[in-house]
Formats: sequence, structure tokens, C-alpha cells
Amino acid sequence: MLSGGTGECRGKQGGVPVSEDEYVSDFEFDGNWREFAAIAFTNLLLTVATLGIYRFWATTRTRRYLWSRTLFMGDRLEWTGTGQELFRSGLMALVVVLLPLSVANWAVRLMIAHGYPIVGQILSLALLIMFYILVGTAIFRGLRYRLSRTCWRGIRGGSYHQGLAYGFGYAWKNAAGLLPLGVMFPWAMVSLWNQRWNAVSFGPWSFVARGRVRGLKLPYVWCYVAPLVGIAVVVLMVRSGTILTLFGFEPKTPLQWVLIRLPALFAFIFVFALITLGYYASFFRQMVRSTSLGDMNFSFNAGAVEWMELYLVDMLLIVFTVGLGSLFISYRHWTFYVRYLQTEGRISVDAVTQSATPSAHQGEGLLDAFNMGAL
Amino acid sequence: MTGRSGAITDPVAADVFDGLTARRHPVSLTWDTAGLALAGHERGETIGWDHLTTIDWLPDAILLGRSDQPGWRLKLPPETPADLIARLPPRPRFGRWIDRFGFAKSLICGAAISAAVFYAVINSPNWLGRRLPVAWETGMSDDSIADIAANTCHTPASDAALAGLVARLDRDNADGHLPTVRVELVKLDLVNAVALPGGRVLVFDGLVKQIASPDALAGVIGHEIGHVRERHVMQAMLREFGLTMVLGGLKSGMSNTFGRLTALRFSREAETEADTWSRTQLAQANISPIPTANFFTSLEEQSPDSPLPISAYLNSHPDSASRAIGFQTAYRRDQPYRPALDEAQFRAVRQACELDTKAKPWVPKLFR
Ligand SMILES: [Zn+2]
Repeated sequence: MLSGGTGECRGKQGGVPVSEDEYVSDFEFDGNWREFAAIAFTNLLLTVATLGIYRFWATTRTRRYLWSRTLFMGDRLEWTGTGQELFRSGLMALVVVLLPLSVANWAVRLMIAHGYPIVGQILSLALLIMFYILVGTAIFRGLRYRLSRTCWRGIRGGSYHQGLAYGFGYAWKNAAGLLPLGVMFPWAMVSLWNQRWNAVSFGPWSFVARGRVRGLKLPYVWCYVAPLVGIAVVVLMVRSGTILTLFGFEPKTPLQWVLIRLPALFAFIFVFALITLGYYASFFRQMVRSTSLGDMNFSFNAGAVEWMELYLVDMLLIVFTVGLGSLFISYRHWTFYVRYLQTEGRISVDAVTQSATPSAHQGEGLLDAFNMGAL
Repeated sequence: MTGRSGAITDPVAADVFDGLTARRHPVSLTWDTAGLALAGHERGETIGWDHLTTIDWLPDAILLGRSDQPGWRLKLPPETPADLIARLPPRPRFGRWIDRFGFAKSLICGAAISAAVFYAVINSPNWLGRRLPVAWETGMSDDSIADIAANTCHTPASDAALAGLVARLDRDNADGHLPTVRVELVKLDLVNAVALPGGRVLVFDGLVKQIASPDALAGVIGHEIGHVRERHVMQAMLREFGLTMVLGGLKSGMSNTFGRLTALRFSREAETEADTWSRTQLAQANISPIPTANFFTSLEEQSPDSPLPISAYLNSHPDSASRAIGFQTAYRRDQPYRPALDEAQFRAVRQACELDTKAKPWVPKLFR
């Protein structure tokens, strides 16, 4: 049998030669959309044929493909999760969390309607807080699950935490971030990023996230100003409606009145989205740069335009294929992250020891229950 | 080592990751019936075939794992001999059950079962509605419609005439094994009639004024009694209940009386069934179907855009032309038809809402 206990096998032990530190390279993706389409369409067929039950296995197949076509230092990632565990945790989340929550919500409504408004309001506030805690816990557990099912050269990730602390953090930091007119929102986002990434690990190393709010204030101020800019654009474009009438086009019906102002609406959405994504791009870029794993550092160099392109093409893809294009969203997003994520630093393969974290038994059922699965 | 054919096979070079570190260990592989033998990585070892799992077929390798050691990985090169590949467990593809059963078979079976479930769910209101006891329907009757009592018109003569007409039409219930259908006039200038839960039929005054013949009134009332007796009311309530369960109270904003009245829509099949019921009962009661056909023809000449009183009936009972034909063809030349109501009775019904001074005009909440 092989020598060495789990996670203890380092360096020269067992006569294995000490490896030189190697410079790490970026992640590479060598899949293509045709291969992915074969998976996506059979997934769709089976999901429809099973009234949606197959979606858990579909997710697993999709991830197994995306992970296995992603290379790091010449070796492929591996998704070790199973559809069965996703299905079981989805069912659990439904029975243990979602059902009681909706029953409680219904009971509180009855109380308010039947003469206990104050108690009812207090209870509904408590329910809202509980909901936020659960969502936070779900987000953390989703991350933990994904890391624990991601394997590279047989080494996986994980976490020692159950996610409840993050759930509480999620609830109060979001509340604090939103309450004074949303001024503290960037702080909440940064703080939550640090909290969750500092609590997870890959192989022997915990991620270290030292994100700071500095540098995000200006983009966020723009977000604040964005609605005003948007309104200015709308006013301009509504004027353009009058320009149209100058050319002899009189809106006769309310529909026409709306139609000639549609460009204004689109322009508003576009400008607003671009500004919001500008903030998000800065946030994401800065957070990735301040996160490290062992001697590895990361960077992410997609700006607002790249994010905008990602979402715009997503939207067009869905609209012009009557929804069928949504099958490719996970592919597009995964390749987006792989394309713009850069890694630098050094790694000694002997130092990359197996994760000693308990392997998460529950999948991401909770996250799924709140309909928040990103990939 | 010998392969299956007994010929000597050359060792295959492969990589092992031991699941403890990320180090790659080059090994050379040989195999026989006992298992896969690894040499070159620390001590040599032989792994039994039943401990090996196929994890994936990658573009440049076959990835194997061990059921007794999570994280242990063996990467076979693309040029792995077919003899070895044949001995490996099949690769997982769609999921364990589907892989065992076959993709096409699973798809067809799944689709068949799902279609059956879907069909059962869609038809459950109809199936259930026919079988639930009539008494339950009375219990489910809508409270918000109870306040309509102040808007119904009653005179002794009109009540007697309507009760007589119901008895003549609903002959299957002559023994009274079901609760008697109550037909009431409502003081509202709307050309419409509705069937409500609990065997209640409302005929709006506008309809009575529009109708020239008591036989046509019998035809319309017969249609509504048909809805009651064929359990369409219960079916529609179950369907609405199911919808609100699915849509999560999206329709709760429509919970005023008028919304409820119009929300209980019957399917086209139900409308045809109610018409058939009406024609059958008219025939057994020796009431001519022709005036009813004429009434529908007169509606057909109205466009759906005509003012509200008439469009109400057209909206809830579409396709007047084919309904008129249905009643026309039910006419039997040799049948001894008698009027549904005599002149005095018909007059009593038509004048009920003017004579009953206690009846208040009904203003649906929608218009308030
Ligand atoms: Zn009808």
C-alpha cells in the first residue's frame, strides 16, 4: 500500500524526489460548442421527458464536460459530483427549508389579516431575516460543494465551515450595506467576498482574500449617478420623438407613441447596465487580484465592455433562438471566466497535498431551491 | 503477463496520481484476469478489476479511479490497447439508470410516463369534478356571491313559473335525489346567465328582456342547468384552484364578485355538453328548440364589440352560429311541442324585476 497519512505526505517522505517549484500557467479551455451542444441537447430531451427531474443529472453532465475541457498546467480539471447527490439535496432543501418557510409565511399573513398586525409584522421581519440567513448559507454551501467536487490531479478543495456564520454575515452585512441609502453596499460586497473565500480551501491551502473597498468608490458613485444620466438620456430621446414628428410622423395611437420612444428606453437600459457593469467589473477585478492560493496569485482582466458583451450576447442568443440558446449560457460563462482569469506564481507539486476538509455530503440543494445556481 | 488471447502484451506507460499529492508518478501497466498491475511507482501493486472505475474518456486519455481510494487517478494514454479498454468498466455517460437502460429507450419511456402524468394532471379536474359529492359543492359556494340576494327579483308568480320550468327540464331529478336547481332573476341589464356552485343559476334581467319566446328562455336555462348537472361548476372550481396553486395567488387581485363570476369559465367541451343536455331536456319536455336557435342567430348578428350588455354573453359563450345550427337540427317535425311557459307565466318572469320593488339594481364591484 501507499505510505503516508492523508494530507501529511510532504516533501521527501517515502523516497519521492522533491520537485522543483514550477511556474504556473493560465487555465486553458480546449472544448468546443459542438461537443457541448451534443450534451446540452440530450440533456434537454431527457429533462423534458422526465418532467424536469433529470436537470440534476444534466447539471452534472454539463459540469463534467466543462471541467474536463479546462486544463491547468497540462492536466484537466475533473468534476466529481453526481446527479444523485444534487437530486437528494434538492429534495431535502424543498422539504426541510422551502416548504416550512412558505407555510410560516402563509401563517404570518393570516395573523396580520386576522387582527394580530404587530405580532405578524414582527414575525414577518423575523422570517425575512431568516430567509436572508438561509440564502447566505446556501451561497456558501454552493461554493463549498463546488470546490469539494473539483479535482485536479486527484486533489480537491473544500471547507471546514458549515456556512451558517456566512449566512449571518450575509444577512447583517446586506442590511447594513443597504440601509443608509445603499452607501455601504460596496463595503458589504467586499466584506462578504473576503469572508467566504477566506473560509474555503483547495488542497493544503486556504484561499486568502484581502479585498478592499478603496478603488471601488468612484465606480459606485457612477452607479449612483447612473439613474440621473439615464433620465437625461430619456429626456433627450423623448425629444427625438418630437424630432420624428418634425419629419412628419405623428403618433396616432398610444402604441405608436410608445414605439417611437422605444429607442429611448433601450438607450436608458443600455447606459444603466453599462455603468452598473462598470462597477461590477471593477469589483470583480479587484477582488480576484486580492485573492491568492498558496504562492499563486490571480487576476481577472475583463472590463465593463467585456461583461456587457457577455450579457448582451446571452440575451440576443436567447431571444433569437426562442429560449433554446439558454442551453449555452453555462458554456459561455465558464469560457468567459477561463478566458479572463490569469494565474501567476509558483507551485511545487509535492506541496499540493490532499485536502483534509470533510467532504461535503450535501450538494447545493439550498442554492438550487432559491434558484441561484450560476453554473 | 498474458492478455486474453494468451499472447504477451507489451507494458503500457501511464501516469498515476496517488490522491495524496499532485505529483505525477509514471508507471508501466500490465494486466491479466486478476487485475491491473502497476510497476515503477514505489512498490508494485495489482489492482483487482472490481476496484477500478472508469471516470471519463477524455480527448487525450482515459481516466480511471479506485472505488477504495478517493482521489487516486490513473491516466491511460490514447494508444491504450483495445484489449485493456475492453476489460474496463463502461464509462458513465447520462447517469447510472439511463446508462443501464439505454438512452433511446429511457427517452421514450420517460416521455411516455411524463405524457401520462401530464394528461392525468390536466384531466384531473374533469375526472374529479364528476365524482365528488354534490353536497361538497354547496359547501364550497362562494361567500362573496351570497350578498347578491338583495339584487334578485322575486314575485310569487315568477318564482312559481321558474320552479315549474326547472321541474319540467330537470326531469331526471323528479325523485329529488339531488338538490333542486334554483333559478333566480338578477336585476342587472346584462344579456347573460351563469351557473354557480351549489346548483344555483342566475339569469340576468337583460337576457330576459332580450328574449322574445319562453322556449328560448327554457333553452338558455336548460343550458345552465346542464352546467350544474354535468358538474362543470365543480370542474371549473377545481381547475381554478389548481391554477392558483400553480400561479401562487397571482389571481387574488381578481377576488371581487364580478371577477369570480367571470372567472368560472367553462371549456368549449363543457359548453357543447351543456347545449346537448339542454337539447335533450327540451325534447323530453316537448319544448321546441327553434326559438333558442333564433336567439343564438340574433346574437350572431351582434358583433362582439357591441355594448357590454350583449357582448357579455358572446364573450362567455362563443360561436353562436354553430350553436344555433345545433338547436335547429334538433327540431322534430312530428313532435307535439308545447310552449315552455304560458303567456301569463312568461309575463310574470319578464316583469318580476319591475314588480319586485325590494330588489336593488346590482352594481358589480368592478363598476363601483
Ligand atoms: Zn355555458
